[in-house]
Amino acid sequence: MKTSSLFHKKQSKNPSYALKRLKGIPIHTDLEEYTRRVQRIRSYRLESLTDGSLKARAEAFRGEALQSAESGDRLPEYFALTAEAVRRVLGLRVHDTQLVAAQVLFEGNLAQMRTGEGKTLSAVFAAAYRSLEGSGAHILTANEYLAQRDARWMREVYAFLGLSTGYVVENMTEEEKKIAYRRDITYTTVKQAGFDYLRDSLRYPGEERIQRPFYYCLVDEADFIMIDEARNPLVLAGETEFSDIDPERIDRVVRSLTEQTHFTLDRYGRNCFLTLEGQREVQRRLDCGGMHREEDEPLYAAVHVALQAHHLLHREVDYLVRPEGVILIDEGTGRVADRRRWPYGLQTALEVKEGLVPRKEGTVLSSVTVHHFLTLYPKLAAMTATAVSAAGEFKAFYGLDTFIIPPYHPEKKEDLPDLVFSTAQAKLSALIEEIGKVHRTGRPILVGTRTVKESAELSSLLDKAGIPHQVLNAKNDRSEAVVIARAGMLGAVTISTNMAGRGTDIRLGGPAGENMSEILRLGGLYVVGTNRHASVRIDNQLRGRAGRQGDPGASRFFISLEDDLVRRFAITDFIPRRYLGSDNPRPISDPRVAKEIARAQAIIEEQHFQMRTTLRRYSELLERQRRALVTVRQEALDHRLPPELLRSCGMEEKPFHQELGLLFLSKLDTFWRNHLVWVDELKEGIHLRRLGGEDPFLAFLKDASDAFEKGMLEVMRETAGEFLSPGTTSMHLKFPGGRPSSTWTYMINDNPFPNFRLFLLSSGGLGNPAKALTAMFVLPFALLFRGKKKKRNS
Amino acid sequence: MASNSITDILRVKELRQRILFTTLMLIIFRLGAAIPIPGININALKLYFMAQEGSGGIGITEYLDFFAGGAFTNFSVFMLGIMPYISTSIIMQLLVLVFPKLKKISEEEGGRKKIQRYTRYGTVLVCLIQSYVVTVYADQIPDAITMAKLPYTLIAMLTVTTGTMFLMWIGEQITQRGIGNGISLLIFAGIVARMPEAVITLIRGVREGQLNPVFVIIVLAMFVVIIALVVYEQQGQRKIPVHYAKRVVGRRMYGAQSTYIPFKINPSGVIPVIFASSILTFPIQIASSLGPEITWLARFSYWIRPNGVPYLIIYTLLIIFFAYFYTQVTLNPIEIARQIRENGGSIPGIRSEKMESHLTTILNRIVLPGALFLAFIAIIPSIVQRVFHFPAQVAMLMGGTSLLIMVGVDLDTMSQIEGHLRMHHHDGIVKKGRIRSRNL
Repeated sequence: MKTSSLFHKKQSKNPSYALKRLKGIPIHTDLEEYTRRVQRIRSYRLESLTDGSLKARAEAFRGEALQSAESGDRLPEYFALTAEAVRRVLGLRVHDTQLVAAQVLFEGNLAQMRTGEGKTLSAVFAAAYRSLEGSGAHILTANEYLAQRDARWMREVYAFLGLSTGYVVENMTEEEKKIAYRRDITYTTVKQAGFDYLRDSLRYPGEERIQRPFYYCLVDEADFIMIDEARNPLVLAGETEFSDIDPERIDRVVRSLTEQTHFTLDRYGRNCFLTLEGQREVQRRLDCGGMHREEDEPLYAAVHVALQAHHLLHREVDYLVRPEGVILIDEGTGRVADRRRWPYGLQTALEVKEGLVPRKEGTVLSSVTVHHFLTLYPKLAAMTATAVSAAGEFKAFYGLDTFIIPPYHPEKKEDLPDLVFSTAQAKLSALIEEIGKVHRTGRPILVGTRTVKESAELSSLLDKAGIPHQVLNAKNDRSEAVVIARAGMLGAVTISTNMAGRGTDIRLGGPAGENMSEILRLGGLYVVGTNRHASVRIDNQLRGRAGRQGDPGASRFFISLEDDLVRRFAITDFIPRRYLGSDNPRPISDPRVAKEIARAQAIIEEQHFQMRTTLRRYSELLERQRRALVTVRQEALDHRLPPELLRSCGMEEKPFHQELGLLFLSKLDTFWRNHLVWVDELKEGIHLRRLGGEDPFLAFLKDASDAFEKGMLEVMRETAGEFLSPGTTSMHLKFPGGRPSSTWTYMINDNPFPNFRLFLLSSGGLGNPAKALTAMFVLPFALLFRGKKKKRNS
Repeated sequence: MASNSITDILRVKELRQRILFTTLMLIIFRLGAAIPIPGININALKLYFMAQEGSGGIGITEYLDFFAGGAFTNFSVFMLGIMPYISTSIIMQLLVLVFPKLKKISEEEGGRKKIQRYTRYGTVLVCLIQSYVVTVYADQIPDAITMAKLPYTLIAMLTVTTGTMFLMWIGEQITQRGIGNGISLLIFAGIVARMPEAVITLIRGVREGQLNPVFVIIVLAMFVVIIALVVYEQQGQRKIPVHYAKRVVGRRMYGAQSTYIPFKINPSGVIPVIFASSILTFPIQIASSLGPEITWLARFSYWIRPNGVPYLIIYTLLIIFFAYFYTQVTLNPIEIARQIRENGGSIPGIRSEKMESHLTTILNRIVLPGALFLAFIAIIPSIVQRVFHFPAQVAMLMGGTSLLIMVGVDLDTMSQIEGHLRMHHHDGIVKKGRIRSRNL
C-alpha cells in the first residue's frame, strides 16, 4: 500500500530533530497514528455516490454533538467526504501527506509543509470539520490578496459540503464584514481580524458587534505572523492630538545640522543624538529653552525623531516613497508592510523629510499585540514551510507542537555551501559572473537581495553586462505573484528582495510549464542569495523557492566580509586578519570563516529571541489589564455597572440609567487611552530602576498595576462626581468626550531605536548576598580593567 | 491587612504551589545540614569546637559556618554550603569578561545555558579541592576520624561535593519553580536556622543568671526597632526624574512621574560591611598568631582586638570608605549622564552640561548618612556584646551582615510574591465583576 511507503523511516531518524526533542523542543516526526487514519479515510469508497447523496451525508454531520467531533472518530468519514468534494469540484487528488497535515491542523498544532505541497487544501479539511461545531473557523492568510483568492477558490468545495464561505478585506463596509464573519468559514488576515476585534471591543450602546466570539483559527505563514510580527501592536486610533509643533520647521533645522559638531551618529548601534553644541544650535534656531525645560520637551522630541528620520532610516532600504505616503518595508520579508507605521512621530518626520504631506497618527484608543490577539482563540492551529528553528517558541508562546510533514515529492534540491569574499566588490563581480555563466545555459535564476536599493544596483550591473532580467521590488501582492510565477521560465533572470521568499510558488517553465524537459535537464531553478539574513528561517524561505514539488533545483549564498550583517555585529573581530580587505577576488576557502558567520547568525537569533521573550513578559500585564477593562466595559453595555459606582451615585436600587452608563464608558475609554501612553513611557524608562538595585520587571509590574487600579477608581469617582453635579445636561452626555468622531487602524512597527539594548541586559542572576560576595571578588579586577582601559585610551 | 495579604497569596494557585515548593526545598536543605558525613565522630568535633569557642577566636570556621547555616561545624553533607557555586560563578563571570571567545559563546544561541554548564563543571572542581582541604582540616582534630585515612578522604570528598551540587540544584529549582532567588534563600535559611539556638542560649543565660533579664528585654526591643530601621533604610530612595524626549505630542495629565533613577540611601547594600570586616580580619589574624613571640605585635594585637574601641573606629571608617568607593564604581555619574544624553534624555530643570555635577552632588549627599547608618548597624553586635554582655552568637544575629542579608532577602522575596499577585490581580477583578482596591 502506498500509504505505508509514504513516510520514509529516514525522516524520524533525522539526528537534529531527535536532539531538539531531547532538549524538550516539541518537534514530531512520528506520524504513524495519522497515517493509520489516512488509511481509514482512504477506505471509504465514495466515487460511485451521486453528488446528492454525498451532500446529504455531509449535511448529516452538521449539528453533530461537539464531543464526537472532538474525539475524532468520525473524522475519517468527513475527511473522505471532503476529499471527494475536492476531487469533484476542483478535479484535484488529495495527497496522503495533505491528509496528515489536515489532521495536525484539526487537532490544533503546527504543520510544517514545504512550499507547493498544498497547504491551502489541507486547511480546507481542518476548517470545514471544525466549523461543524457551529462557532465558525477563521483562516488567516499572509495577505488580503491570498484571503480573497483562497476564499473564492475553495468556496465551491465548502458549498458542496453545505458550508458557507466568506472573506474580509479592508475596504468592506461593516455590514459586509459582519456577514462574512458569520459564515462557517472566514478567510481574512490577522491584521484585519485584529482591527475588527479592537473596534468591537470599544463599541458603544446601540452598535452591533462585527465578529462572533472566536473559536477556531488557522494561521498560514505562521512563523512570520506568530513570531516575527507577533510583538507588533495592532492599533485603533482616533482624533488627532493638538500639537503646535510645525514638523517642517523642525525638518529645516535638522537638515542644517552637521554630524560630529551638532549630533553624534552611531550607525551600527542605530542611534543618534544631539551634542551639547547641537542643543545650543537648536535652542538658537528654534528660539526655545534648553532641553531640560519641560515645556520644550516635545520640541526636542521632534528634533530627535527628525534626526533619526534623516540619518538612521534610508529610502529604498527601510521604506519606499509613494504619493500617498511613506511605506515601510518589512525587514524580514522585504515586502511592503501593509498598514504599518513607525511610532512616536517618526512616520510624520519621514514624510516631511520626503516632502510629502504627513498622514495623521492620532491618539491610540486601544491596542493589542498580534500574539495576544491570537491567544484569544480557544483553538489555534498553524502552518508554514519554516517552523523547525522556532519550534520552541511556538510551544512557549502558543502551546503548539510542531509536526514535520514529509514532502509528497521527495526533495531533489541542492543547497550549495556559501561563497565568502573579502570585499563587497569581489562578491559583486563574482555574482555577476556567476549569473552570466548560468544564464547562458538558459537555466532560470532567482536572485534574492536584502534591500530594494541593492536590487537596483545589481540590476544596473546586469544591464551593463547585457543580461536581460526582471526586477521585482515591493509592489502590490497581486502583480508580484504573476511576475514571480514567470521566474521559472527558460532563460529567466529575476531579481527580487527576499519578499520572493514567502507565499509565492515558482513553477518551472512558467504557468504553462513550457520547455520543462530542457529546464529539468539544466537542473531546475537556481536560487542565489546576495546576503545572509539575520534569521536563518528567512534564508531557508529563499532557498525553498527552488526544488518545488520534487523538481531539481539549487541554492547558494554569496556573502562578503563587508556585508551589513558581518559589520553590524563585529564578526570581523573573529576572522583572521589576513582575509579582511584583501583584494583577492576569489572566495575564501577557509572553512572557519563561513563557520564564524553562521555562528554570528546564531548569536543574533538568540538575541532576537531574548528580546521577544522579554517584550512578551512586559506586554503580558497590559494585556491582562486590557481584558479586565473589556470585561468591565462589556458588563456596562449589558447594563451592569460596578457596585461601587452605583453606591456613590445613590443608584443602587434603581434601574439602569442610560446616561450614567454612557458617562462611565466614555470615562473608561479616556482613562485607557491615557493609561496606554503612560505605560509605554514607563516601559521606556524602566531600565533606570536597575541603578537602584530594583528588578526592572518587578518595578514595572508594581507601577503599572498601581496605576491601573488607581485609574479605575478615579474613573468611578469622576463619573459619580459629574453625574451628581447639577450642571450636567443630558445633551452633554449624549456626546461624551471619550467618543472619537472617526477611527482608523494601523500596526505599530517596533520602535526601531529603543533606549539602550536595555531589554537585552540580563535580569536576575544571583541574589542579594550572592551579589555582594560576587562584588567582593570582582571589584578589584574590575578596577584593574578600568585602569588598563583608560591607559590604552590615553 | 496582613491576613488579607496572606489569603490573597494562598488564593492564587500558582503562588501557593510556588511557596509550598520553596518550603519543601528549604526543609530538605535543613535536614541535610544535620546529616554528618560518614566516618566522622561528632562528639569529638563538638568538644574541639567548644574548646575553640572558649579561646574566643573568630576564625574562618565561623565565617564558613555562617554561610553554610551551621552545617560546617556539624561536618554535614552540606558543610561547604552553596559557597563553591558562588565562587565559581564569580570566576566564570571574570573569565567571560577577560576572554572574548567565552564572551562570544555566552552571547550565541543557548550560550547562557552553555556558560551555566561550564559553571557547574567548575563547581565540581572547586568542591573537590575545598572538600580535600576540609578533610585535611578534620584530620588535625583529635579523634575526629573513625576510619582509615584514604577511604575517609575519598568518601568525604565525594559526599561533600555531591552535597554542594545537590544544594545548587535545590537553589536553581527554587528560583525556577519556587519563589525568590534560590541561592539567596539558602543562605538566608542558614542564618535563620541559627535563631532557635540563639534564643535557647539567651534563655539559658537568663536562667543561669549570666544575663540581666531587663537587658534582654531592652535588647529585644532594640532588635525590633533596628529591623524596622533597616527595612526603612533599604527602601528609602531619592528619585531623580529623567525625561526622554520621545513624544512629539504633549503628554496628558495622567499618572505619576514614571521615569526616574532611584538612588538608594544605601546603594551598596551589605558590601561595605563585608569588605571592611574581611580587611580587618587579616591583620588581626596575623597579629594574633604571631603575637606571642613579638611584643609590639602582641601589643598591637591587643589594641586592635575585636570589639575594642580602636577596632570599632577603624571598622566604621572603613565601612564609610567602602560605601563611597563602591557607589563611585557602580553608580558612576559620568557614565549615567552619558547614557541619558545618548538616548535623548534630560533631567528636568538641569542644564544638559550640568548633569554630571548634579548627580555627583546628590550621590554625595545620600551616601554619607547611608554609610553612617550602615556602620551603625554593623557595630551593633559589638555594642550588644560589650554593653549587655550578650553571647557572641546571639549578638551576631542582631546586626551586621546577617541582619542586612536577612532583611534584604526578605524584601526581595516579598517583592517577587507581590509581582505574582499583581499578575493575577486583574483576573481577580474580572472574576468578581467589580473593581476593588488592592489589599497588599
